[in-house]
Parts: sequence; structure tokens; C-alpha cells
Amino acid sequence: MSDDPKWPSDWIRAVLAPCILQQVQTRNESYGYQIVQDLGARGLPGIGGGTVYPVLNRLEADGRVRSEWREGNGGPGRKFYSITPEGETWLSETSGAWQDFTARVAAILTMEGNPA
Amino acid sequence: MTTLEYFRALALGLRQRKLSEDQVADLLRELQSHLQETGARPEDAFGSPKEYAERFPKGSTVSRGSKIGYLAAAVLMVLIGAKVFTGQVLGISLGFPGTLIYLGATVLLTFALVAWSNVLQRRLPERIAEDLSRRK
Repeated sequence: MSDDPKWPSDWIRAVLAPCILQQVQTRNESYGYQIVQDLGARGLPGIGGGTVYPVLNRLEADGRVRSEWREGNGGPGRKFYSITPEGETWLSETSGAWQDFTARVAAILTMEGNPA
Repeated sequence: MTTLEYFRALALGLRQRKLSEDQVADLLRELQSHLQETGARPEDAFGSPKEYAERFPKGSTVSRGSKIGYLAAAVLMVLIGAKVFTGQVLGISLGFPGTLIYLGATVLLTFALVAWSNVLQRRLPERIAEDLSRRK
């Protein structure tokens, strides 16, 4: 039996796009399966292609990533994504806002006793 | 469901969400790339084709298959309407055999158009169809 934590799906939904974009930025360019593996290796296991590709599709439609197909050996090849300047700006803003939000939530959740 | 059936069902789902042919081809190719990399079965990795298609934002492209489907509905309504109009308003009767042949032809034409629509909605881009049949 897996010891992987089961996070509520709405938590995952809220942060998946910036997490995926961060993986793309970290590697300069990446493709779907590699992103799935990277997310798992960095503590978000169990997020499959069925979740990642629609997010990549939205990020591309919003101009936050661009993509390029590279041919494989007789197969369909791989679609590599790279971050755009718009994506970098959005990631920086979203990442900062998320850290601020989680710090506030953590402060509330660790409060003891009743407020004065 | 075989891999080929999965791809056809997904192509249908994506076209029903009005994604363009380029988007449909791109998403199917990406799915194929992922499956080749992992060796997974499509349903295990992506869930049902209908649910997976619904995760993508709706587009605005009316596919050729949908257009043929609308044509089938229009043909059915026009031919039935014409029959009612000629019979009830103009008082022209085809007689029992004539009516039977008319309605039979109407049903056959509609079925043919619906079948054609279904084939177009589920068709795969040439490159993907070739690759899938090679790997069967």
C-alpha cells in the first residue's frame, strides 16, 4: 500500500498550473511525461497525464508556455514546452501570492486559544 | 476498450467540444507520445475518453462531422415537413405504397447521413491512424 499523501483535489487544482510552469522553467524546456515524473519526485505523486495535459493546454492557450514537436525514432515524438516572458511574470506573481496566502493560513491554523 | 477505440472515442469527444482539427490532432499525438513513453493503457493513464475530453476548454470550431449531423436533422425535418404539407395542405396523396417508399427513403437517407457524420467525428489523423495500426 502506498504511503503517498492524498491531497484534496481542489487543493491540487489550485496550485497545479504554477507547479507545472515551475517545472518547465526549471528545466528550460520539458514535455508532459517528464513533468509528471518531476512532480512525483518533488512531492506530488499520483498526478497523471490526464491531469497535466489539460493544464499545459490552458497554459499554452493563455500564452504562458510555447511548444514545439520534436520527432522521435519512428514514434509520435515529444512535444516540448518552454516558458514565455508572460509565463515568467505570471509565475512570479502567482508564486509570491501563494506563499503569502499559505503563510496567512498557517498563522491561523496554528493559533491557540480564542482571539482576545 | 482497445487503444484504437479509445483514440476514436477521444477524437469524437474533442470534436464535440468544438476543438479545431489542429488541436484534435495535437492532443491525440501528445496522448500517443505519453502512452509510448509509459507503456500504460489509455484508460489507466487518462480515464474515460469522454471525461478526458471534458477537461479541455471548449472551442468554437464546428467539425465536418457535426455539420453532416445537422444536415441529417435538417433533411429529416424538410422531408417529413414536405410530406405533411403536400398531404394536409395541398391534398396530394402518394397512396400507401408511395408513402411507404417516401418514408423509407427518408429514413434511409437520414441514417446514411448520421452514419457518415459518426465516421467523420471519430476519424483519426492519418499519421496517428497509421502508427496505431502498425503497433496493433
